[in-house]
Amino acid sequence: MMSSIKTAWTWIDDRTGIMQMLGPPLKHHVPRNAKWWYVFGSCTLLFFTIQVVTGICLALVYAPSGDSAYDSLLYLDYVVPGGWMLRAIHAWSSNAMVFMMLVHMTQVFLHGAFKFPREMTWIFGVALMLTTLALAFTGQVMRWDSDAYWGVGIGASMMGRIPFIGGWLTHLILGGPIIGGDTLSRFFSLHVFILPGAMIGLIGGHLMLVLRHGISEEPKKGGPGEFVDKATYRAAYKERMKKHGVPFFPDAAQRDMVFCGIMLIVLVVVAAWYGPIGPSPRPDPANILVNPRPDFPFLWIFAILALLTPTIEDYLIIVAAPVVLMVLFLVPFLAGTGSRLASSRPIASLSVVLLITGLLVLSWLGVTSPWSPHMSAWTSDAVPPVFVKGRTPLQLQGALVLQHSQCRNCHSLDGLGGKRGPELGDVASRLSRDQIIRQVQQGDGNMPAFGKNLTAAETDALAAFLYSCHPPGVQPATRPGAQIKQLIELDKARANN
Amino acid sequence: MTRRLHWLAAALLPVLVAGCDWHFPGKPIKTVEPVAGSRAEFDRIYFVNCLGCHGPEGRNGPARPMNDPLYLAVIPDEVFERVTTEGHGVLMPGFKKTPFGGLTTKEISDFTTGIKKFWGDPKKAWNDLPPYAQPEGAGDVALGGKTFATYCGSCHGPDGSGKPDGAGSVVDKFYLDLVSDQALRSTVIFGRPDLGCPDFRGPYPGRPAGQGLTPADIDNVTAWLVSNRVSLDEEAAR
Repeated sequence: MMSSIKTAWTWIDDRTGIMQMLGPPLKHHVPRNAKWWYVFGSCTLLFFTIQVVTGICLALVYAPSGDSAYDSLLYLDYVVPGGWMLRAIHAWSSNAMVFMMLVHMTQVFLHGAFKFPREMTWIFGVALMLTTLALAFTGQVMRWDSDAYWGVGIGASMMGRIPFIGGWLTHLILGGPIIGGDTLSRFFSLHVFILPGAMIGLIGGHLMLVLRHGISEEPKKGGPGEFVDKATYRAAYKERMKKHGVPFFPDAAQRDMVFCGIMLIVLVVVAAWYGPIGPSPRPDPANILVNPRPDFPFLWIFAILALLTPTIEDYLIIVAAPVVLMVLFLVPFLAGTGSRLASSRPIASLSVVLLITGLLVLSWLGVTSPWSPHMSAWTSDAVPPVFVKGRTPLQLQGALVLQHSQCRNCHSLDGLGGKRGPELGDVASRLSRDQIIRQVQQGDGNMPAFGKNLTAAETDALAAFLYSCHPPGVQPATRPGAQIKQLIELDKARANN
Repeated sequence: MTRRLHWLAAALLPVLVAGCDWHFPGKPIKTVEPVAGSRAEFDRIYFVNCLGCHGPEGRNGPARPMNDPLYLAVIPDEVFERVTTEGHGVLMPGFKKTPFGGLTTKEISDFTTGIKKFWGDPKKAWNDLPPYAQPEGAGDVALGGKTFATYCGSCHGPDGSGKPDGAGSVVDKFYLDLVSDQALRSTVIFGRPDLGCPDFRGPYPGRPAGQGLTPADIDNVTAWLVSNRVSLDEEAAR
């Protein structure tokens, strides 16, 4: 059996010369100390390969038309054997690819591997990052659910702000003036043909450049390759590889395979455990009860756009985003030589820390989206019984005003309800009765004024109810912040107990 | 050779696991639409539309408890359906279907049937139930004031203005501006059993057990409560 396979392989190799072609790349020398830090790029490639394979399988069933795309996902989830797993692996490998690509870029940046002579390798890497994000975004649109609908809406709105060509570009992407069936067709073409094609080309270029310039050593204090000097680096690197380098296969490739194997198992476990992503409710612009949010790679953008004031949005989209992208492309030209040690590059290291912290915090805010009103809270989130027992008839009417005026969509009682505004379960310990009435009538900050929407009776009842909302043992406030001391003491007593 | 086979098996394992259509936690479960008239459908409608005001399990909310067999025995079906569809008074919104949500006529009809089936007590033989609505022209204000002081005064004060450690005022001008005549009558008939206020059958604090309000008493107390209402516009003009 084995000898037959060997004979067949020898025949194929003889006729095609495949080993002659693959041999040099596989045997090219890499630094001996290029160990576990160097596995992330291969793993990103693995996730891309998985997406190509699963994407082809999904395309056999998926119907890229406005009226049947959503149903074809349900068909995959509930009817096609293993269809849900295919969707899950495709979606999670997309997230994993973005994550692994960011880890790879962080490693390259911190190790200064973008410096001379690898500037073009970095530029190809940034282009790959943008293509990966574009693939992830267009992939989300393929679900054709409410997340996709609103995601496209926001993307189109951002694109429309580009001076001069914004309107034309939006029309081109949407396939018309509004989001419809043509929009899905265009995004399908992007997701399945154009972007993967670009991706394969860019990966080819990236790998070719890696082979041309070699893999940079892990920078160590006083070690080889700590400093990059344009005059000497190339010759010194060549010399070091000749003396101390090891062939990529099998030395370095083994580590890649082990890491990729582990990540593959993790991917399958995550897919089996968490299942496919979406679909959320059907795309319906009239349905205000949906709470759309983008996939993981775009949560931070979602958070930024939600938290910034509208006046800054234009500058962020038109000025800041291109500037950041330009800086990213120009990194190798801004710091192309000198030390590669992260500890010798405090600004670079600090930038990474700030960037990662910012992305994590913004993504977390994107997940929780505390700014989004909970649109059905006024009818579906109960007034907790503790706020009903012992209340006067007027206060009970005030609780009804609270619900009927949809205050609960933004404010919670005992943690239940919207989180956009402050919790009201202890409002009386912060605001006096007069302040509550002023706040209701005039509003403040993001809160609209209800003065013209509520009658005197409704305002009085609402104030009566809210003024009864204070923690047990804390008297309601009679002047601003009057009960802060009591609250602090209560917190201390609770902590001691 | 054996080692190679182990590696091959390890590599194929994720593929095999991925290919199996087992019931992993992530496998989507098809949501079964609740059958019209079922308990699940009734719960769905209640949780989405009514829970906010009428409380968990139909009690202990700021609005009238709906999980009250007496209330469900007295209120006529057509009134219940009308109130659910069109709303009532100032603070009960209508839930008629609109492009932005709401309930279909069929859903409201099923909900009316369901609430009586699941929260009512259809097998109980109710005797001497007062009419849901106030008969036209019924009610003596003076007698109503006296009856209120006798039956309700121990909690709400003899004049209805509330007691510091008891129940609150029922003659507050803002309260009376927000509630309808029917809401006042309903409170007299059904009380708020979930909050400790008895229905018309009692027991009333300080009164012998079994001594409740007669239909005439209910008419009178309702008339007295309504008589305390003042026009806020006229008051403001003064």
